[in-house]
Amino acid sequence: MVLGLLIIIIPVATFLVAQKLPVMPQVFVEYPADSASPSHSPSISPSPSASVSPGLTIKATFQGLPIEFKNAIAVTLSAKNTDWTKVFTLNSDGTFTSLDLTGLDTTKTYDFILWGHPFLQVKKTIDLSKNPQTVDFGELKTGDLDKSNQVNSLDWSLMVQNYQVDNSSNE
Amino acid sequence: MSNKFFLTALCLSIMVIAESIWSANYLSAAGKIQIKTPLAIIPTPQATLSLESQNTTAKIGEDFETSIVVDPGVRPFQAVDANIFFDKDKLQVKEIIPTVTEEGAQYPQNTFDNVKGRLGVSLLLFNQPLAGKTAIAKVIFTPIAQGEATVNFDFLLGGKNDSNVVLYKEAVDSLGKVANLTLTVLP
Repeated sequence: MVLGLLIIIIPVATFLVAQKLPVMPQVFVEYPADSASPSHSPSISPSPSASVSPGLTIKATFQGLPIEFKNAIAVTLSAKNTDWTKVFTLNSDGTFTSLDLTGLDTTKTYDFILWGHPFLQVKKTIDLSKNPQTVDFGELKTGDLDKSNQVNSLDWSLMVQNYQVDNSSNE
Repeated sequence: MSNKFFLTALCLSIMVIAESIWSANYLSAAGKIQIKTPLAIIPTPQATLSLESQNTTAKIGEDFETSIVVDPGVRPFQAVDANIFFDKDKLQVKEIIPTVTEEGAQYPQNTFDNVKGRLGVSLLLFNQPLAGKTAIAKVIFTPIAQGEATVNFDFLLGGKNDSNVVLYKEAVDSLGKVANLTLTVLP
């Protein structure tokens, strides 16, 4: 008796469920537009002019990277123990000017961490109350392929898999 | 009578199961539900690093030797990072001696710091991987104070910037277990 009922109920229920449920992708809320992103999310500024207020100038160089590609690396600058993070690219002279410090307390000292793949991160402690104009992070050392902030056998093992591979056959 | 009942119940059950499968497939094809397939089985890291020595006691001032040994399991390995903490108040490193001499074996890290109590040995095998249990280095300690002295690998399962073992043609850490050393330093 129960089985007989199930035989009738299953196709009917399937039909009703199919009518009621939305298609899967509609279940998820769409990503908010960039302008609606929370303030602590990384903000990508395609050029220095995108910054909204005068601020710090950041300087860095990248080990092994030809000078003409300095501005090809997206770097992430974060203040340790805060949600403040900025993502940007350096100019061809190795600087990023007018870094927007909105969200940080300009009377405090922060540990700023600069990182870009595949380079080791560099930390600089900066006292914003002294109104610094430029922070030079020096040369970021290369080789951290797996973003562990250490160059070791795992990075080498990644690299050695592609040794002498030039992808010329794909051009 | 009971046979007829059984057969009817069996047929109805089969129909219910078939309808259930059809229902799930129908809803999935219509994009209403997602049927998840089982995740691929990720192999458990099988390699081990151990500190092996003939004795577990040593006298103050008498050199004590221990070997850093990698056991990659069934597959050969191509790279090792052995990062080790030692009890700097009771032991001092005198020397680290690389023991893999095969062509293409390179030691980009072979260092110790007796102030911090740390030593590191990294081996990269450029030409051929090595199979089986292999001693990658000998560490000569000089005991300096009486008591229990620990020598421990820097290891967290899944950690990338501690001790690692990389198997041939891979680029993931396969280190699953370490065997540390406790040394009794006698007067």
